[in-house]
Amino acid sequence: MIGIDNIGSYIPHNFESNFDKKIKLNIEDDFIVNKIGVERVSRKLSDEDTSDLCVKAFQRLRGKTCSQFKDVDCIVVCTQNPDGNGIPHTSAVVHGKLGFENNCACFDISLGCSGYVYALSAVQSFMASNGLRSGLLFTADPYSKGINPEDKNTVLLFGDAATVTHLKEYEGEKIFWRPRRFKFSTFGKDRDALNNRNGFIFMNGRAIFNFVMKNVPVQIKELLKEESLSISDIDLFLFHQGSRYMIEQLRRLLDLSRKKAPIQISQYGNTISSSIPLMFETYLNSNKLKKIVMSGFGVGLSLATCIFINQS
Amino acid sequence: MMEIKSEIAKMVKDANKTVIIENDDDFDRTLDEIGLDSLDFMSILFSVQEKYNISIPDEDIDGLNTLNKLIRYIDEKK
Repeated sequence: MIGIDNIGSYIPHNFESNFDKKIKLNIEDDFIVNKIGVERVSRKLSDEDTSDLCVKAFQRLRGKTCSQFKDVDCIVVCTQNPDGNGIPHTSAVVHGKLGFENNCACFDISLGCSGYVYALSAVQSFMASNGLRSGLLFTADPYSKGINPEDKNTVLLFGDAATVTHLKEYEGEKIFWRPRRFKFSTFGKDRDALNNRNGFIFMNGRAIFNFVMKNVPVQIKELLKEESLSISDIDLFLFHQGSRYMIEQLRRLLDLSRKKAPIQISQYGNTISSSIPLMFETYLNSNKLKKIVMSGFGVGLSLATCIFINQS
Repeated sequence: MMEIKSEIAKMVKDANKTVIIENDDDFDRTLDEIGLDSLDFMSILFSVQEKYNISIPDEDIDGLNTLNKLIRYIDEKK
C-alpha cells in the first residue's frame, strides 16, 4: 500500500507587497485583505528555474526527516511552467541535480490547480502497479514566468512556491495518510477562461468563479455519497487556495466552519498545484484528523477531489 | 418582481454580510454606493443564473449597476 509519509516545501523569500500596488491598480486595503486575501505574493529569484524550486523543497524535506532517500525510484514534477522549453522534462533535471540512482522513473504531469490531486492518484497507482517503493511528487508552477504586471486579475494573486510529497510503500511502519477514493472532471469547452496569451497568463475571473461554485460542491457531495460518507464525517477540507473570497463562498455553499476549511494564502498567494500540499504539510502530523478531503480546481478547466485516510 | 427583489436581497447578504439594505432607495443606489465590490457582484450574478436558469453575458454586466436594474433584467429574461 502506497501512502504519504512526509511533505517538504519551499517559498522563495522574495515578495511583492500588494499594498504597494494599490494606487497603480486602483484598489483598496479591504479588497486586498478581505477579498483576494493575498497581502504579498512570492516571486522566484531571477536565477531560479522550476527545477531549482523543486531541489530546495527537497532539501527542506530532507532536513525534517532521518530518511536518507537513497532508494527513491520515482520522481514526478507537476508543472505547466517547466525548465526551459520543457525539453528535457523537469523531473529529469531534478533527478540530475539531486544525484539520484539511475533505476528511477521520472516524468512530468502537465496540470495546474487540480494537479496535486490528479498527481497523487497517478503517482500512487504508477508506483503500486510497478512495485516502486519510494516516490517524490513535486509541485512547482511559477506563474511569475508569465505574469503581466499591469493585469490586476493575475499580478495580485499568483505566487511562486514548490512542494515535495514523499510517497512510500507501507511495510508495517507507520504511514500517515493513504488514499481512499478520487474523482475527476474536465470542462474543456471552457478552457479559454485561463490560458497563456502571447506569453502572458490570462484569467477570466468571473468564468473561473462560476465554474468553481457550480462544480466543486457537486463533485464533493457526489464523492462523499459514493463512499457513504457525509460532510460531518470529514475532519478537514483542503481546497485549492484560489482566493479568500472563493474559499469563503465554498464554505457557505457546503456549510463548513473556518476551522474545517482553512485559508492559507495571505503571505505568498495562489501557488497553483502547491497550494494544497502547502496546507497539508501543516496538518500532516495531526492525530486528531482521520479523514480529509482535498479538492483542486482551475486551468483546463479541470477539477479533482479525493478522500485521504489517516492510517496511523 | 417583489419575489425577485426579496431573493436579490438574500443573495446580497450571502455575497457580503456587511452590506445592509435598509430601504427601497438602496435598490436604486449604485452597487459601489451600497458597498458591493466586483467580487460580491460576481457572486450575486452566479446565484441569479443558478436560481433563474438564465445566462448573463459579460457584455450586459456594465449596465446592471444598481439592484433595481438587475431585478428588471431578470424579470425580462426569465
